[in-house]
Amino acid sequence: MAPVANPSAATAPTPLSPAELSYLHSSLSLRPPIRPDSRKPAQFRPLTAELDILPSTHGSSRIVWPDGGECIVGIKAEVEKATPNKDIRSRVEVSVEVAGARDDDPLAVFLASSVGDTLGQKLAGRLEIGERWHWKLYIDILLLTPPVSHPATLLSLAVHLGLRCTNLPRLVSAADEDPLFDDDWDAALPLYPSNAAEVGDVPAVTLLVAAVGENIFFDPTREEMAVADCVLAVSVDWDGKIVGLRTLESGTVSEGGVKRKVIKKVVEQCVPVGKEVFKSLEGIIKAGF
Amino acid sequence: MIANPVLAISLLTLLCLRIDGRRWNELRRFHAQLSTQPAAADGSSMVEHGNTKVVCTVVGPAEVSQRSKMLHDRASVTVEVTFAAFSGTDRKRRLKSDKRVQEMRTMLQRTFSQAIMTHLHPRSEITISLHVLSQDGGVLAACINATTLGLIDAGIPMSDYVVGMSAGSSSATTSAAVSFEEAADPLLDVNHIEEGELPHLTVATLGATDNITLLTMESKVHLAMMEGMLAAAVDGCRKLREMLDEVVRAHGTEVARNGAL
Amino acid sequence: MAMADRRRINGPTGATVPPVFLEQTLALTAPRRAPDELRKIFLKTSLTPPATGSAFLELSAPSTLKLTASVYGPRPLPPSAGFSPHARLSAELKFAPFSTAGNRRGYVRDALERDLSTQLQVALARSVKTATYPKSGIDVFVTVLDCEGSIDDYNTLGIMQALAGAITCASAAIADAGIECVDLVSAGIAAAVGEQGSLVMDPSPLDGYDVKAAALVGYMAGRDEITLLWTKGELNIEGGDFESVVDKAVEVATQIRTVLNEAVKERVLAVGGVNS
Repeated sequence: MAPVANPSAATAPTPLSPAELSYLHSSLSLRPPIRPDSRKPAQFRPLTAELDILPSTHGSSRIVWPDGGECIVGIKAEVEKATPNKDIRSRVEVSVEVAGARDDDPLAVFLASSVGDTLGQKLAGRLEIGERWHWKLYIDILLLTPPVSHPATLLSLAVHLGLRCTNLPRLVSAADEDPLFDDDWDAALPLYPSNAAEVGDVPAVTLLVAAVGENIFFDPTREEMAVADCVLAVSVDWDGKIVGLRTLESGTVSEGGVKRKVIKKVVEQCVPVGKEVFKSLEGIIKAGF
Repeated sequence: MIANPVLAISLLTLLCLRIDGRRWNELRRFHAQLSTQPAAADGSSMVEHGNTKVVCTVVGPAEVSQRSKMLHDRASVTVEVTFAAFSGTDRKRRLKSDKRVQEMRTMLQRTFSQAIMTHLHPRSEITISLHVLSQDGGVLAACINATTLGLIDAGIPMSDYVVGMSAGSSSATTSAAVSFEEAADPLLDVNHIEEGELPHLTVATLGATDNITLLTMESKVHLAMMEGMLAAAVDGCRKLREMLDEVVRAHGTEVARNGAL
Repeated sequence: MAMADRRRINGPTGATVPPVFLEQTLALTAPRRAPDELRKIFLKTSLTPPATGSAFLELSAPSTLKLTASVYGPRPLPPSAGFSPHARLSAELKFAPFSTAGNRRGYVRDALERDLSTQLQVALARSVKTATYPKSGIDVFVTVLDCEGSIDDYNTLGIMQALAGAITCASAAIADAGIECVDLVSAGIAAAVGEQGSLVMDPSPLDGYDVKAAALVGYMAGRDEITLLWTKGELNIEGGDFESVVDKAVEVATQIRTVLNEAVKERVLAVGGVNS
């Protein structure tokens, strides 16, 4: 009768004792706060990224986090007949596989739906072929190693990079005919043109933010999340708009929720930090080509 | 570049070359890497045979995850194989309960239980997880090689390298006018297209000894052709063993230079 | 009787003719509410006798949302769960197979139900004084008996309404179970609709708004604290769109809180009456 206790990798309790958690909580509540790995509040952990690594996909990327999290994204497109009255968001299908976990693991479900929310209608609008046909995009995300910290950011960055290097075959038939494509892969057109960043139309990214007292931490580790008063996954796009926000499970050191002004502060800080993230992603993409 | 594909194929046949331009005894581009995920697992590796790409992580020897897996005199070896949905030509999700995946798991488990000196780690478990990221023929062989490298990276004692190689035979289509021995034309390291057309087998040998530890074939083939394929594959294994050894030594030198040893 | 069909659930032995209802003459589409008008809520606790605490929530017509919550616990965690210095709160939200318009839903939990279950748990976990109940588990089950329209991933408001109802109802059930809480949690929804992005409180999918963005909050009015925030759709930060939508949702939650207070109080008065 009781729901099955299903401790997935991210929700598994930290090995820290209540005393250690309390110590961590107070050092994070200091002004200025002290993080266990001596990062600044808005500093991310270094990461390694690779683009276009898989020949059998339309676009792919790999991101490795120094704590061992490794994420591979493969994007494949299929031509699908348009069905009227169907939400265009169904043109993008996201699936997440966490190595060593079951398919219906709550973490995998959460990640898939949060990535889907983030991309939303904007991406679906790009998949038009003509009136009667459109592309169906399958975004398959593989979390190779059970992550030590919550992988939402890792995943969203990998998906962003994967989409940015996705190429779709060039249409040679007229818009109203049955679609016919150019066989030459070199002639394929990028899903996001190279000037997409200048126009500001690129996929949004999800940032993980933890709040402890009045302090705000980006890219929290598992231990930091375990003592946080609240953990938010905020999706921001290039223009600094919030395109989605979710609350994640946070620690048990204290009870009660968060004040509205803390959430406001989190959201406000996400804008400049998001800008920085987009800037470094642009750097990765430029270096990749 | 030859623009006309028909012309290109007939030219290939004329020159006795294969569809991707290789000779019968040539391997595809082989690339391997050790310690791809140094933080997450005890050992990890990545192997590419042409467009086939496999990633392997090894955890262990560690405490057994389930008591039923505990063997009092040796370590138990657990293998997990997953195919990424985007690995094939068409997108297709393959479940872990898929019969072919299960079969591959069992084959790998048996092969490596013999090659690893399991008696040195009683009551523990060695977990090998393999992720197939891209399939273009010879997936099983690539999995074997990736596992060997992963185990070496994890520092798990083995009697020797286990090296996998696939081979096919092109004579299935030629007429039976000539005797099979003459027509038998083995092809080393088959790719995806050849796998679909021709009879093929996968062999794993234990290092320099040429002892076969795994042999699997699922196609109908004349016994006389079998010998040629087997010889080609074992030859390929021998060659590949040197290449794997080179990769391991280069990695070792690198590690030593960085002061880890 | 020896050949009784054991594979299916059999009907009662005394068969009756199924009831025939008259055509509904009342138009189902009630006049559209004002943007700042909330629907009436029916919330009653202690309706599921075997559960430690329970509650039932229903919205006034034309809305069809109906859901029940039952709380079991605090009860000992199974030995396999290991030691926990706090109570572990688990929540499960399930749509009944007959709850949606159109297609019947399956019994197996799907991705959406898992996602909502997790959010429900996040919303409730921090309102309970978990430190009071070491080594125990508190299990919350919410069953949505009827929802507004069809439920799929793209009916944002329908999903949010179901979750908001679940949070409010489950919080009443937790209080009904006599579990120590820091405060009750009520949930409210606000949405920015139309080209202008004008704000609507408690929007229903039946209202037919063109929703640009929506926000759901789990709110503890007594402490002015938020336990859950879920937004969908584009919201500007610099223009203050984000803040105003969240504030509106909080306002909705504050109003719903009065209903929650009454429902919980009813029970307390009833118990008090019996004892005296």
